[in-house]
Amino acid sequence: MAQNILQVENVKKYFKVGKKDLKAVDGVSFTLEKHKSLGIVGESGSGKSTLARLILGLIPPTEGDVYLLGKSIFKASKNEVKQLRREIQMVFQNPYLSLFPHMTIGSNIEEPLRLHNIGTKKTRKSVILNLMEQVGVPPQYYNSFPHELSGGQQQRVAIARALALKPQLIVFDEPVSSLDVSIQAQILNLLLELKRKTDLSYILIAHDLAVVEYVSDLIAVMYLGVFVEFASTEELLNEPLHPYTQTLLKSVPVIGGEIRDITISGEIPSPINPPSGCPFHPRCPYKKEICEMEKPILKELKQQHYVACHLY
Amino acid sequence: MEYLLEVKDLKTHFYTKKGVIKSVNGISYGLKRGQTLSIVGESGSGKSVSVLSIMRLLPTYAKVDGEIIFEGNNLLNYDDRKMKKIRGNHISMIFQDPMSSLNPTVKIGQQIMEPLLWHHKASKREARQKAIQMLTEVGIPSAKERFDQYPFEFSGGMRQRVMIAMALISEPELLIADEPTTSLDVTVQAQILQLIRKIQERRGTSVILITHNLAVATMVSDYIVVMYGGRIVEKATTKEFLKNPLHPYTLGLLNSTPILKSRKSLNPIPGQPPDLRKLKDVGCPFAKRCSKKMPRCEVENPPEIKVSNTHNVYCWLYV
Repeated sequence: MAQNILQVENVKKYFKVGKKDLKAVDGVSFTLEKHKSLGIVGESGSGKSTLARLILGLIPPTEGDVYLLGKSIFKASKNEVKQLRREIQMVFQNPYLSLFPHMTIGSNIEEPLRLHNIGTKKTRKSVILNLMEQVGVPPQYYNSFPHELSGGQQQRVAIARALALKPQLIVFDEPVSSLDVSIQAQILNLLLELKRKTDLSYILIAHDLAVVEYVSDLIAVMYLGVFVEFASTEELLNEPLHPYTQTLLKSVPVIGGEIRDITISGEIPSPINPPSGCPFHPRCPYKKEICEMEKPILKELKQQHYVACHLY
Repeated sequence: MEYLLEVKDLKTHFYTKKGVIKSVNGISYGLKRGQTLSIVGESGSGKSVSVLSIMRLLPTYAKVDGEIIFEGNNLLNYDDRKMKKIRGNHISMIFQDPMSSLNPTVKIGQQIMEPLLWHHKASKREARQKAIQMLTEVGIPSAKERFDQYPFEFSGGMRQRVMIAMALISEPELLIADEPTTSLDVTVQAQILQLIRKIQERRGTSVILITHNLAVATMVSDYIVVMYGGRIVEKATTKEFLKNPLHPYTLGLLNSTPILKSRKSLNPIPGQPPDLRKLKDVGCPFAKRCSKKMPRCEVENPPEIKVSNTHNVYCWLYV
């Protein structure tokens, strides 16, 4: 059996907003095997970024737990957490905001190595230059500052920094959505290449289904804090079962395509005031009575194909 | 069919302390009545500046040259007073971020009526009636109650619908939409695109759509203009564009765009978009990144190749 790198168990995160709870993540469970890539798609407000922060242990969950390589990241001791941190890294949407503007490209990439006391100043330099080569940043940028680089190059630097500690898992939160199409394709190909050449696993969070499809083995569709569908990329795209996934697939613009009639109306409701029962029922064309009363649970309908819907 | 709008050799240059930025450097295209034209390009290609030049919403250090013929008159000869009669009356514009284009302190209804009242096209009572009718037309339920609400009480998609209502209430001949769906979620994007198309069919409004999303452009428009580095590299009817895309940049864009369920691998354009400050006047703006570059590409401007009456490509490859 393949080894699980990550196990997320019924994790929830509620934020207090006034007297109410904002249920950003409302019970998500999944496991990720080694050397697999998982794409999480969802609209804004679906809780995908909060989930990413939970997986990284950046915020404590209201309930549930996250296990990295079998160890709980929330129950581990300080030392253990520091060790675990080496195995999981993150890359954010806006590369300029996530790099230190007053530090050179070289020292930005060096930072994690320095924090974990790896190598000496001298040996680190060759490691850094290697990383820069791996992500396609020319070595002459070593002494440049982030603002001197284009958005695409900055994102490559951010990826190099994430790779510095040789982590087993990287979480990418919308890594290409601020980039131009031609540059976006460069970064996506870089992700594929990293996966081919190393034994890296990654989670990619994005709102663009086509982007997610291109780089993921598995796809989870998130809506109002829960997974509504979870399956292999091929399975999910060819046989989407949840009405929301089906709509999402129809809504993606296609070159030379027609504007198709969207069967759902409205927008994602506010997580402060979520609908009763199934979170999707106010927009669902197949709504039944039970959908308003009872929240459907994620069931394995076919092998490795999970859906949370009362239709099935 | 006659042209509603003809842009001829439009140049918009910004005179900054750090040098002249030639955001738009000699572009020409025509838009027929009732049609949709998309301008596609990446950031810095000049697509937004080109339409801001039509509306003349530019800072004072911008210099605009060329001709913008709208209904037979050159808008560049108009003074500010005359332009005010055009804006929001004959030509309306909607922007990417509906929150920052609506006034947060004024009720939605007031804002929608404003173009009519400002241009003295209706009395207050008529304007109110029309605004409510417009709100219904763009798909806002219980329009009468919504009329008295503020922008923060609307979701992103609803705000964009309000913007569209406001832009269309004076029944303009031309609607310019600058990335109208970029900040919206994909299911909402589909709804808004559908709405723009429906309204256009019903009212016969011409539309210029600015977008970085090639797929969106091919889905909604009759005519596509591809810009790079302040210039047009290819323009064609959507049909011809899909059947026979020719410019290496156009092909690069097509090969960089992931297509759902296509299983094709992406073949990105190498390098970075040009720095407009350093871009030379002579030579093809795309030459530095082009895989089919020839020596003449960097020293001579690319010729205009007429593939057909409605398909032009600017490239030495097709001489």
